[in-house]
Amino acid sequence: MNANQTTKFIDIVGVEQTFKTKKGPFCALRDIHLTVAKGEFVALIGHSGCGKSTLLNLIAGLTTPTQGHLLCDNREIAGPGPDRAVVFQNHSLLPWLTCFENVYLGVERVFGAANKSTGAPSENKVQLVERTNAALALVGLTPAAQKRPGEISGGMKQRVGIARALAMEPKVLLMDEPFGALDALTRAKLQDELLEIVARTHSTVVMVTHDVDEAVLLSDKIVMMTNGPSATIGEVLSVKLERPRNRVRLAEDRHYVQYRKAVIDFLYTRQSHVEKAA
Amino acid sequence: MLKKTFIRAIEYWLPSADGSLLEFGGGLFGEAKRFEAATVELCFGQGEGLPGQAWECGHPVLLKSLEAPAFRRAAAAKAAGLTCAIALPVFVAERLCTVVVMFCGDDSEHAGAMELWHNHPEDGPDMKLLDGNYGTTGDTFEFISRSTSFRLGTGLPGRTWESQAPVFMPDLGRGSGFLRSESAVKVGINRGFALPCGATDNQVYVLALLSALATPFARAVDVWQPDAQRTQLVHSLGFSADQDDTTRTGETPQLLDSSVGQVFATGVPFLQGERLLIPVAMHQHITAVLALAL
Repeated sequence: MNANQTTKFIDIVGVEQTFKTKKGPFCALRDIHLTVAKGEFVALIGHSGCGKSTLLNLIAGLTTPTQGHLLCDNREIAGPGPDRAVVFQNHSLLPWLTCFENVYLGVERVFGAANKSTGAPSENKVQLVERTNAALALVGLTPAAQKRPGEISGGMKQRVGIARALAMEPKVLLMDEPFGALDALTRAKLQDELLEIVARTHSTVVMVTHDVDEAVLLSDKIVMMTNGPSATIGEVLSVKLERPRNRVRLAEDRHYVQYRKAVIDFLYTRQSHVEKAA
Repeated sequence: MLKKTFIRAIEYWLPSADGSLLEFGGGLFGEAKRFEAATVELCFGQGEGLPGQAWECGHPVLLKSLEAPAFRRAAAAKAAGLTCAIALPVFVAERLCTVVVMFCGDDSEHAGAMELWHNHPEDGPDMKLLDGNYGTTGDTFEFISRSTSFRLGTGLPGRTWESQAPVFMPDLGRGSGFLRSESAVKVGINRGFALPCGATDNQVYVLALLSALATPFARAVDVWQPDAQRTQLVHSLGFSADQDDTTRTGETPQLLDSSVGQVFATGVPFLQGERLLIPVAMHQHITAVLALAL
């Protein structure tokens, strides 16, 4: 892998996203330039309507930009693919399948057929089951593998969503407010687990969040977006806190507090701007 | 009683007739009389001393320690309490017009910071801190500045980059758009002023001066920018620390044959009574004229 592939693993160049509406074109995002290095954890933060999820959807290939282009590992993003797995706030599990079956479904789709692009042969059922069990073990859900989504807690459902994403061995993990619907304690536990998983898997992660503490705790880089419409990237904060990170120790860390204040500062300034404009 | 200013002295250097040296052009030295005396007879070749380095590099140079051998007037600077300087070369169409050098100190009467921000288009869209002098403001503000990068049009450096002209933020604590305001106010910094800097390397440099109410960066600041027809220069910003820190605009426009107009046309600074008129350049053309009184 050359240096460009490492430092520009995800490369977003001059992206604009305009939607057609009944009232005419609506520019959600403009002039987006962003690079994400391999193994980097990037948080997208900003007020509602600033286009964070739109940007994540563009990286996922769920939508295509009206201008500019996006590359992942030097290949243009032209649609969804198993190299970019998405974890949504709504876990999107199939309620009639068990946790195991929900994860297995994705594993079978990706590894159950020969991979034309890499030339990898299809895997047999034993291998697929092993992959599924490993993913569930990674998120601590082995004991709940045979339960259905209706029989487990919200935090566990979200773990299944993460397991399903990680089981596909994606190059990039895209997370759209994954812990937004959880209570504070469960969210903290899952954040800690995510820190451990990312440390083990060296995943490249792009996460949308509203939570300042979550952004500082998890990220290497916090991308702060201006208000929409025509939102763009305003400021980028490099979080140089050593890993592994421990939330209890960080709470008293001088630099952690400064990063946190800087993000709050940005959001507060932006919010006051909105109020003035209103 | 006059407030002490964050910029303690300012000087400018002009290319000699044959273009081989930088000769002293003038300056404002306030109480730094000995430093002024040590300055007026000097000249610098390309790469020599701070002005010569800025000439050779083709971009601003921040010197955080005024000590020999990097700084020839070290003893005089020390005696005057000057500890940090930035040299700002002004180029028009590859031709060096002047090198302006601003000096500040870091004693207890100098609450403020001097930052040089930089964007290299080949490296991406972020404007990052190249270097900064934070004096007595402690490391809190410095830490967050070094962690932050700005996009075009955002924050003090980004807004200056976009406007290509000086930007003044009179109160950083009041949701002014200064994105590091909480850290700044905590260390006593409450106002910001930034100007684009000249360079020959097609990269973008912005100088940000951040100061406290008790030590304004200058006693008076005025900025003129050309109108759309470029027939006259419109007063876009005025600030006086001696008149209740008020900001004012709308003074009489300056024609091109005025002193302000001549600085704009030639790129050569002009000492007008107690204030120095300085050309502000970006991408090798003059975008504004800045007047400073210390």
